[in-house]
Amino acid sequence: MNNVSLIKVMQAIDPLFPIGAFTLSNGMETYVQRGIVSDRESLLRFLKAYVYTLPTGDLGFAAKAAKGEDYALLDELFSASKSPLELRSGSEKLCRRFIKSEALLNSCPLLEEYSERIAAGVLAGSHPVAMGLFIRDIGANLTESLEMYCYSLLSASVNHAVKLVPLRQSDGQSALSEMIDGIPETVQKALNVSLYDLGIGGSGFDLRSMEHEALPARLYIS
Amino acid sequence: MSILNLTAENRNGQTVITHSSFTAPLKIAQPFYRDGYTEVMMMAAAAGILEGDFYDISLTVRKGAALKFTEQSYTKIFKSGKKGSSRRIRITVESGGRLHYLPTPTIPFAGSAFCDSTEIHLESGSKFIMTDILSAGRIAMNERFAFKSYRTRTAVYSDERLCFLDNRRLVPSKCDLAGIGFFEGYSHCGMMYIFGENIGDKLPKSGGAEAAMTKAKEGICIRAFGSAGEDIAELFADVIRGIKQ
Repeated sequence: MNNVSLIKVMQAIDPLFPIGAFTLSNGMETYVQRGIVSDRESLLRFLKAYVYTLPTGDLGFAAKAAKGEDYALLDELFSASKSPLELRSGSEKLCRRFIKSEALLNSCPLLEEYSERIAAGVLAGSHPVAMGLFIRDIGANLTESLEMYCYSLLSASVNHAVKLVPLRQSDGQSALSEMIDGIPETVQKALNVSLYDLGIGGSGFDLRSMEHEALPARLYIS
Repeated sequence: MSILNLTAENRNGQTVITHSSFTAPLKIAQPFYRDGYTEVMMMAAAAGILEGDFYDISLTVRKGAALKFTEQSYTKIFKSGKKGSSRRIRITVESGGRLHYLPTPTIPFAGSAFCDSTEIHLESGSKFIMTDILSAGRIAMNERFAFKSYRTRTAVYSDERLCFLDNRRLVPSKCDLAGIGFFEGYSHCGMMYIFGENIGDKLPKSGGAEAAMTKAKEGICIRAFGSAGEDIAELFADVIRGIKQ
């Protein structure tokens, strides 16, 4: 057994993978404009709260999809729980571009099925659900894949904060580095999450994403 | 277990409570009519929700009926041991029916563990508004996030398809609820969900509350933070007053 599948997952979560993930700050832009995230320490507080919500959020949806849970049900739960419009539509866009890109590179029967139901307007499209189906399609190790995915979500937040505040790269990396030890435990929680708990988030995160819709000057689309 | 079941129907243009049953400590005050709605106030002949309590509340609004459901006093959740307390709420609004579900703010006391599950079934052509205000504890006594756990899940179905989910689990020992992502320095947190009503594009001037609105998968969701429950309640009341007919 080699690591080819895992490397394919790394390609899929690479910030350079052309799906436009760099245009979404997922609320970070509001946090920075409000001065709530302004230095390494406040970024770390953000990351700790964010990682706490991941097992019932993006990581939990990906884990469930990768374990073979009904993706239509997950798609419905995802779009109902992502009430802030920009978070929902951002994830829908990433999902569509992700499937389009992967369809050209790998054989992904589940992703294609998902894609057809999105195109038919039956499902909305969720990037974490697509990520989970992709992991299943290519037969990558689930725990390792989710650990990489978790890292990429944290790394994206750090990079947005570094650009927006701005912070020194070394401060961003040192905050990210502090989060790494907790990633395996976060992934274990995601693997064991119940359907009933999926979608649990933080009201503060939601409020800041909603406020983003009305920010007078914005670089990011969420 | 304490139950409360209510059915509101339209009889010759007026909303009438055609069925009501309840068990202690829950009961309802005499309904009254105002602004086209029949208003029902739920009362509990108890100081609050106690350990082992299970409230099972069910509201049905039939075609053409207009109901406003309120509560008499703040919902206080008392300290509990292992068992905790819970509540289940089921709401159905038929096509052409209208429901404003406006419970009072909830205060989880130190040591309380509460679990709340709300399921709302809306038919197309119905109108529905709900508000939910939660305090961090007994603020006047300088008590914040001293409860053990507060779990609430509100699922809204539009013609049996899930269209809005507000899923929250607050466990002070597990994360910093006062900080980023959760209460963010405020003592009160509110959520309002609006389905089928036109509240316009802008929130009213919100007094002391910090609030924002968004388009959910279906319906509108407003979230608000404040340093007093009244600040958020006032904003939500202004939103309702601003509904365009």
